[in-house]
Amino acid sequence: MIAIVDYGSGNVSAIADIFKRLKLPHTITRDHAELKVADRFVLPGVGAFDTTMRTLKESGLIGVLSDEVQGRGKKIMGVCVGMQILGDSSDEGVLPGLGWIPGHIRRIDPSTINGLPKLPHMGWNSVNIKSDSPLFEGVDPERGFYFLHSYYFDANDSESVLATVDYGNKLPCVVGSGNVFGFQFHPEKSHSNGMAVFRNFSLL
Amino acid sequence: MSLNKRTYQQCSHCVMDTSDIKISFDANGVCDHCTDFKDNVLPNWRTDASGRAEFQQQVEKIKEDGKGRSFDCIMGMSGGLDSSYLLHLAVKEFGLRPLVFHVDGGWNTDIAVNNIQVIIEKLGLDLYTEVINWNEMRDFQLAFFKSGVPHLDIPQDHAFVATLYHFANRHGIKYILNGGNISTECVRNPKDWLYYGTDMAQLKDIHEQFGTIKLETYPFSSVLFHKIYLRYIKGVQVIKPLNYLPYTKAQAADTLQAEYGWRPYPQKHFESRFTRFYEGYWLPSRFGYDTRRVQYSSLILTGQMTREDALERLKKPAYDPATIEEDFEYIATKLRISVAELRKYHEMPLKTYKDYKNREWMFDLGARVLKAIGVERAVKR
Repeated sequence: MIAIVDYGSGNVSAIADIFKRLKLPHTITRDHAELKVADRFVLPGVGAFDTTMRTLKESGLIGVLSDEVQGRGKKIMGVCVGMQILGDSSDEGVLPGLGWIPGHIRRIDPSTINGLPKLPHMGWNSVNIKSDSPLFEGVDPERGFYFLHSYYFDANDSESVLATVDYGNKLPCVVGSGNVFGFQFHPEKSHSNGMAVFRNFSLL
Repeated sequence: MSLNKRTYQQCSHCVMDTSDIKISFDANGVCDHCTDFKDNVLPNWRTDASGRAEFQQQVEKIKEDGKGRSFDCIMGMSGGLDSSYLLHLAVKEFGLRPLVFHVDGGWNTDIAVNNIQVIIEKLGLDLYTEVINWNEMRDFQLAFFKSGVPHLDIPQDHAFVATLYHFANRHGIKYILNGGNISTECVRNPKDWLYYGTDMAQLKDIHEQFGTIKLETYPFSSVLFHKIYLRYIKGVQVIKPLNYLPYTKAQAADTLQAEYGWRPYPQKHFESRFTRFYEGYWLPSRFGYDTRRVQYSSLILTGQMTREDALERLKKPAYDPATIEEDFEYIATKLRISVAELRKYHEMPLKTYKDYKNREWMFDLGARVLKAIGVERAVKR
C-alpha cells in the first residue's frame, strides 16, 4: 500500500488519480496507524518552503514519517516542494528541512538563462538521466516531464543526483539517497513518463 | 490564393472588409458588424452604476453559495489581459475567492508564465495547473495542419474550455467567471475564419482522417455537455464580469503593470507561442484573414481606437518578418516535423470547415436562440 501523505498540502488528489489509473493500491492519509502499515510514501508539496515545512510540522506527522523512513527504511518520494523539504535548508526560507538527503535548495539564477523573464521555469522539459536506477524504466527522457518551480535541489553529494534538467545550468531534478527520492518536476502532470515513474517507484 | 470572389470593400466605420466573406454593407458603406453592435449590443451594455449593481448582486449570491467551501468560483487564467484583469477585479475589488485554473497546452510564452506568476503571488493565491498530454496535443494540432482548414487553434482552445468545464463539474463548482467581454471582443471572428471550437463532429472527423494516435487523455467537451447539461442540469453558471464594469484595454494594462509588474503583449492572444505564429502569420499569409481587423474593429466600436490608427497599424504585418524564419523553425521542431513539411501545409490547397463533417446547423440554431433570448448579444456568423 502506497500512502500519499495528507499533511495539508495541495496536489494529493492529482497524485491519487494516477495511482487509480495504474490500479495500484494507495490511500490518502494522515492517520498514524495507516502510515505505519503502508510500505511506501509519496510526499507532495506546493507553495513556499517554510509554509510547507510549517504545515508538515503542525500536522504532527514528522515523527511517524521519520520512524518509518529513517528507522525502518521504507521508501519515500517527495514531489516538487515535497522534494525540496527533503534537503537541509532553502534560499526561500529560514526553517530547516527534513535533512534526509544532504543538500541546499537554491533559487535558479535568472542570469544563466537567455532572454527575459524566465522564472518560474514552467512547462515541459527533457531530462538527462544520470543513473541506471529502475526508477527510469520506460521513461522517454526526450519527451521529458512537466516542471513548475523557481528553486532546485543542490545536493551535497553528486552521487545522489539521479537526473538533471537543462535550464540555464544543468539543474538536478531527481535526487535519491538510499530509500529517499525526490522529484522536482510533477510526475502527476507528466502523463506517460510520470505514470512510469510512479509505477517504477511502486516496484522498487 | 483566395477563397474570395467578391470585389474588395472595406467598412466605412470600422476596418472589417470583404476578407470576411459574409460581410454586408448598407447604403453608407457601414458593415453589418457595426449595425449589429449599434442595434443589439450597445443598448444592452451597461457598465455604469446600474451594471455594477447588477454584478454586485451576483457577487453576493456567489459568496453566499460558497460559504464554508475553499473556493466560491472558478476561473481560467491564461496570463493574457482579459483573464489577468478579471482575476484582479474578482479578488481585489469584489472579494471573491476563485480557484485559479491554468491549462498548459504546451505553448506558453515566457511573458504568460511571468504574468500568471506575479499576479498569483501578489494576491497570495494557489494556481491549479492542468497539463495536456503533449504527444496527443501535438498530433491533434498536426491533424489540423494536414486538413488545410483555417481554424488550427481548435486543439488548444477546445482543451482549455473542456478542461475547465470538467474540473468545475467534478468538484461541484457552480460559478465560472469568464473573461469574455464586449469591450475588446464585440466584433467576433467570422465563422469562416475561426469555426466553432466545440463542434465534435468536426473535431472527430479531422482527427479520424489525419490523426496518427488515439486521443486517450485529451479532454473533449461537446456543446451539449457544457451548454445544456452543466448549465441546466447541474446549474453551473458562466458569468462575464467584464461586461458589467468599465473595462478598457489601456486602463486594464496600466493597472496590472503598476500593481503586479504584469507585462503587456504586442497583440491579443499572443500569450501562446502557437497562437502568435498562427494568428500573426499563418492566417493572414495563407488565407488573407487578419484577426487584427476583428480586434481593432472592436476597439473602434467601443471608442478605444480611431479608424485612422487602425488602418495605419494594419499596413504593417502582424508578424516580424525578421524573426519569421526562426518561428517556423521553432514551431516545426516542437511539432517534431521538418520546416519543409510545415511549409508544405502552408502552401497546400485551402480548405474550410465545410470540407469536413460538421453540425453547423445546430450551432447556428443555438446562436440564434441565444440571441433571441438575450444571452448573447454579439453573435458569431
